[in-house]
Amino acid sequence: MEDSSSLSSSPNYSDCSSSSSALNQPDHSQRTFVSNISVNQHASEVLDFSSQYGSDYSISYTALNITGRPSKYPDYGDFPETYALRTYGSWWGDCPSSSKEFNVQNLPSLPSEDFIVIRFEQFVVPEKLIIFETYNPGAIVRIWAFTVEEKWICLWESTKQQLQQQQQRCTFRKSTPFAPPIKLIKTPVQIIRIEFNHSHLDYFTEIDGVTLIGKKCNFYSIDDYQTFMRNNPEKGPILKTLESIKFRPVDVSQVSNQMNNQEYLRNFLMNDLEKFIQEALVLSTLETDNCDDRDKSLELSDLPFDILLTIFSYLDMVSLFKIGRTSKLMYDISTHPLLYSEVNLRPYWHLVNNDTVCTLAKRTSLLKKLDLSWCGIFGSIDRTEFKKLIQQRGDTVTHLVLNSCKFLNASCLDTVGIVCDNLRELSLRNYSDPPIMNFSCVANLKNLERLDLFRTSIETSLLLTILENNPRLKHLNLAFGSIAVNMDEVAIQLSRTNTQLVSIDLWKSHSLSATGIQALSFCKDLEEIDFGWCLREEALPGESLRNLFTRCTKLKKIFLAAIRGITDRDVENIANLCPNLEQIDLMGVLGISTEKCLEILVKCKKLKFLDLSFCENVDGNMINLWKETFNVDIKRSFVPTDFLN
Amino acid sequence: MPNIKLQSSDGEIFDTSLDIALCSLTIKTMIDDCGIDEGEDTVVPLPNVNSTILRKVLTWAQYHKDDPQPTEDDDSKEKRTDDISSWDADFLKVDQGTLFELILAANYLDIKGLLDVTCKTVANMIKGKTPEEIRKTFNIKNDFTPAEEEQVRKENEWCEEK
Repeated sequence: MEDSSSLSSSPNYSDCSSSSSALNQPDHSQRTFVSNISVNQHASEVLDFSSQYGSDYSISYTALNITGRPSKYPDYGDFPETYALRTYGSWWGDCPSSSKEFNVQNLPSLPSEDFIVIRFEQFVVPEKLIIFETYNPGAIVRIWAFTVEEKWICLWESTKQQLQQQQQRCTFRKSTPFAPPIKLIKTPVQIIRIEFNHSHLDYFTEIDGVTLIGKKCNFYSIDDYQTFMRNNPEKGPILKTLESIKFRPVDVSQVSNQMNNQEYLRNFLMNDLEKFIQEALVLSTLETDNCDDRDKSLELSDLPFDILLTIFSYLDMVSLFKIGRTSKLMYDISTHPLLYSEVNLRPYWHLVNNDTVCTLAKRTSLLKKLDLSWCGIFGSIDRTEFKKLIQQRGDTVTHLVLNSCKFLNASCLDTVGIVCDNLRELSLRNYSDPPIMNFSCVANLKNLERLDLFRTSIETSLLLTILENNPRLKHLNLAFGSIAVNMDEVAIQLSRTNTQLVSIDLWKSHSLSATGIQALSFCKDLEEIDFGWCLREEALPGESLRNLFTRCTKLKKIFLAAIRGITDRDVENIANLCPNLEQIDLMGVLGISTEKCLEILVKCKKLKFLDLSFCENVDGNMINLWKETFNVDIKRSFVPTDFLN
Repeated sequence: MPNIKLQSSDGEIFDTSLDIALCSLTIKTMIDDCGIDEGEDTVVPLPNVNSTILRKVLTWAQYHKDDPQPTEDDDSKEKRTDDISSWDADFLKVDQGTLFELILAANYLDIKGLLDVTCKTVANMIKGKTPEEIRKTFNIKNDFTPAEEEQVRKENEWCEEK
């Protein structure tokens, strides 16, 4: 740590419980490693994230912008200096490429859609967390802390009502820092995870910075802490429980003040312990007696097996495990393979470990769909356990979603390629570094209909082989593809072998030119194209785009954000050739006029979404008028005027 | 719509409008297969449902008679339990014995909507509880041997509050 010298010079870290106002409950743990001093820290490092608008080698709208001192706050508006997520609202869920979530029983009523994990310079016992949302606030749904004891604790969780209030904070276009009432824990923390649900937002949410305020700790790593704990051993579980119920062996008020705690305890152990245990026993027998007294009406255990199975099919997996602990019958039903044919562990990313994977391997003999996204952070899942699961159960699996799984490497994917013969959907998001797609066994797969490599690097030759081997491919996501992949070659391959293609996402990928677009026009079933930030070197993509629009008459979604070469003629072509258009993104396209945009609104009768942010030649007043005239959600981002000057 | 007579296990006759009775696929099949004519004074015997429960089932069916037919395709939505209407929630504020009898009746009479909502209600009574709380709620006896108990405890360790 950088400023450790200044800290080690002040060794005076006494217990904080007496003086801390935030921790107003008495601190029984008496941890002497916590100081009395509150520190303010800005995030210093981004450890992981699921989504960002910008690409890794850019500085605009990337996750990194969440670190350091807020640069735009208290300004409100759309600023590239902040962290923005790739999506918002329902638009990405309502398009042809959206895939259906499975095992929804596990999802909370307000599911997390994206996350970012950030680290702070020093360990603190957290008192307050301030998030500087500078544009479209109201997407934060959960805040987690990774404690020095290597456990995740949820510090705060939103409700649907709270989320609405959060959103309203932007009504006056002012940014207000968001400091939810976090759960006060006593364990030091250095890592914070923020989770988002942006499905109700009107436009991109942007975050300028995060400040963590807490009592400073006098150690700098988990190792330091563990050494400390070894020297100051922790209390056992019984003592902890007694503390948590504020257990006192004798009534303090009746004992003379001179008697100290040790004497109380000795007194209790000698005279009262036996009585206490007897009373506890009597209490528990009373409870069981009460149960026996119930009249003999129908009980849960009396229901037939198939009905119990139906009831259990509505349970989330944790409840399923818990009812399995109650009796043999309940265990037998709760472990039935039918209840584990679709398994989504993403909502349990903070709980899932090797034991979970190992136990599931026993229960999943009918496994069809598996989502392990977000699981395995900080070494909670070993590759060998994952591979064992795939080797045992992979052959029946049709859907495999492994986004941001920290344990996944090339050899794990090798196992997938060898075992999962029936795989139809494979999602591998966020594996840009280190590359994991350099193994050829993935090319064994023959039945893929969806391949999602959002922010994942892959070699061109392997990608081309995969495309060739999977002629039924319908959805391909190569957003943020690595520089090494030549998208023209990919497009040409698609036009030869994958003509059933329905959607292609090339957002912020490279080396796509008119040649590639021309080739893609042979995929006549295309309903969705995202070429946002592509075609940067192509001066006039117009002719190839016209061919694409002419041949692909089913197009519902066309994203052409920030393509410099787009002109009024292209917009005119879209208006005339795309009768099924529902969503179009023209953000940052400079060469288009107000009149031609109106033509799209008039001619594309099915249009629902139009993004005209940063289209400098489209009249803002007209846009406001259209918003009232057309039943189309027209987006125009808000930038304070002094920012443009 | 003509009426039809349903007879409960304890012999009570329920004179019911046919369109309400037909929400039970079991009754529908009986009528179709046996060729019971409308207006005929035939009584359909339901030996697995007593009068208390049948009365409740018919009340439910009366309220839901205009519901759209459930579609098969949206399976994922069906697995959520936070979509129980307030009328149904009120209707199902009954003792456990009655709730389970309703489940059996809905199953026997093949009324998908009622079976769904009753099973969801029971699922909601299980959700979020500790094993001990579940045992108490449903009067479940722990019949594990110590060795079994230990195995199950181990399997559950990952999701137990610490």
